[in-house]
Amino acid sequence: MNNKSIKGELAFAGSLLILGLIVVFDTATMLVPPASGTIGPQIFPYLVSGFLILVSLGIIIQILRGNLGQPEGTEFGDTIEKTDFKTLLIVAGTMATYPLLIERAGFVVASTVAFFGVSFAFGAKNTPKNLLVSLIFSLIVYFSFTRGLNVNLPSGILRGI
Amino acid sequence: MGNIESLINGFAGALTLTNLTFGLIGTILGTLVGVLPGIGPALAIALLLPITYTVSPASALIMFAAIYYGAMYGGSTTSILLNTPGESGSVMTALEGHQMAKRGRAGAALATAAIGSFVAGTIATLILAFAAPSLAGWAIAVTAADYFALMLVAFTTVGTLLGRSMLRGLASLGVGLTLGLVGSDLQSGAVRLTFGNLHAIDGIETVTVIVSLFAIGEALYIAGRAKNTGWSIIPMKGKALMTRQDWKRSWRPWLRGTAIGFPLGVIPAGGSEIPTFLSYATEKKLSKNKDEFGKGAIEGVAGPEAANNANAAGALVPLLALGLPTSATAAVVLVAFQSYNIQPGPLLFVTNADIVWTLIASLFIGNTLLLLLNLPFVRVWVRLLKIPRPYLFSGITCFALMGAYVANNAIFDLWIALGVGIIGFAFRRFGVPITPLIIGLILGPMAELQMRRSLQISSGDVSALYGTTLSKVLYLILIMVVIAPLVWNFKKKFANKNK
Repeated sequence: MNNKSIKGELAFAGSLLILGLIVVFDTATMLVPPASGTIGPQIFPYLVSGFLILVSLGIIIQILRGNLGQPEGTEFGDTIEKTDFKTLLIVAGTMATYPLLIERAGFVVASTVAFFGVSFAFGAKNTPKNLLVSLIFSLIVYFSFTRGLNVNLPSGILRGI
Repeated sequence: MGNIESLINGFAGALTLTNLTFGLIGTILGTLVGVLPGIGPALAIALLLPITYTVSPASALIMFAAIYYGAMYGGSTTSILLNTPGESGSVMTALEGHQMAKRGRAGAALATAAIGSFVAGTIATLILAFAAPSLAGWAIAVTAADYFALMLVAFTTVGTLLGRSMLRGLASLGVGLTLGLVGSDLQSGAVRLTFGNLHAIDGIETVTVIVSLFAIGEALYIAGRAKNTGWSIIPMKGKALMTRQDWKRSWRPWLRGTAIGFPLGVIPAGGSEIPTFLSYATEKKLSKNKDEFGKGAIEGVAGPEAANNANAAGALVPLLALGLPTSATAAVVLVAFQSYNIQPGPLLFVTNADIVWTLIASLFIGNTLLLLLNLPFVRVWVRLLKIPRPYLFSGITCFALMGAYVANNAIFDLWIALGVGIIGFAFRRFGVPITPLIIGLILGPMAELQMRRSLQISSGDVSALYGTTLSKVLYLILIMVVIAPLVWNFKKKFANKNK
């Protein structure tokens, strides 16, 4: 294993450690309501953060001794050694448009954009066909959930239809 | 009222047109998500949770149970024809099943998997119908301290037995417990880990976490780490049928698989990984055709498949009788119960007897439907695998984002979903199992409640936590679960050094 993967591993274990420290800090500075009784709201968070800190320290020691994590396999054949950050960023970026669009433009727009972006990143290159599939998918989902199952979805630009 | 009488009443409740329809939809959806890679029963049920606002509890729970069972039937199809075990429970099936498929015996492999699942599911559900009420009756006497100990055992077994590294499993648990802390503390009203955000006071939505860990995390992981190749499906020749010889070689593994799978589902042993592995090892040891193993031995499909199904039924026992989920899917079903204000646990069989018995009866019906649905129509299901990969992931992503949003109609939840999705990516990348996080998130607040209850009664005296016999036994088990693997490893190292 090379240096780079050790750095990644350490960053991961380090963030667990930081998470534990954040919990300690938050718990120590917490406003405790006066009527909390003998067993207040702080004991359990202290236990959890202590546990998390111990475990992350353990993992850091393991990593330094050369015991690295095994990336999980996928249902899609082989995994690659290095992360493909370009595809990853396109997918993550597309996902981030969803919360921005869903209430402003409505479900159908948000869903179409997300579907299109993700399928593009996963290698669907025929843009017109792709757009059409995205739109049809979103319309079917919208109408089957709102009309069929009575689940409320933001209508957005479809208001009144 | 005796169990048999209750069960008959349950059948009467389940066999209405509405409930049968929901059961049928559930079996179809369950098989669908089982067949499709990248999407599982926990995710499917989480996505459908919004229907709990509009559908009656019995109908919704019947549908969820059918999805739960159905996903296992579908999962075996994928692992046999694609050699890509989706769920950890299908790894062993893929081992022999895929070899059988390569030798043109896909039909027999699929048949023994489906019939074995049916046999195991039916027997296991029957045991469930009798075991769960008696366990519940006994559990009424269980104290808060006992519950706390029981949850600690569940935490430890789920955390240490899943995945390759014990510490990484426990780290996953720790993150789940931390996420469970967010929001206002129900007992004192104190606000924890919200950093001034008003939305966070209600806590982090469990469904959002589950959906984004499984779907969004998976989509990110595949995008970043998988080779951009399709999958190769082995074409299936003939029908899903078994020869007389196949039957002869299958029925004993089915029964043994059931016997191994069910008890390991009842105790929190960390999912279907261990029972299916044990079943495979047993069949390999007992088989007269040892040399066939690794090249497509039917026993190696029949046993693990039965164990997998029996294990799933077994996991319903602690869920219904104690309110204790031991797998990710069971955890989502618990959330479904709670959204109807029904709390699974010892009192469930008293307060909501009709719903529980209808649910148990519908498990029998669902299992039968699944057999009828899977054997003759297996080709139809296989065709699903021809959905182009980009569209499959777009669909999963869109459903997941929608599921995260509709739980509370809140954009805040969507940002949480993206954050948790990144955690899901990192967990996969660094070999950290996901289920412990979910168990920690759901059981964490419950464990805290029981601990504080117990300590409040004793006014802070910690010895109250291990005061009862049951809690002492449970802590003993806990110590064994932690120590045994360490001793085992030490022994191995020692033996290697002396060589």
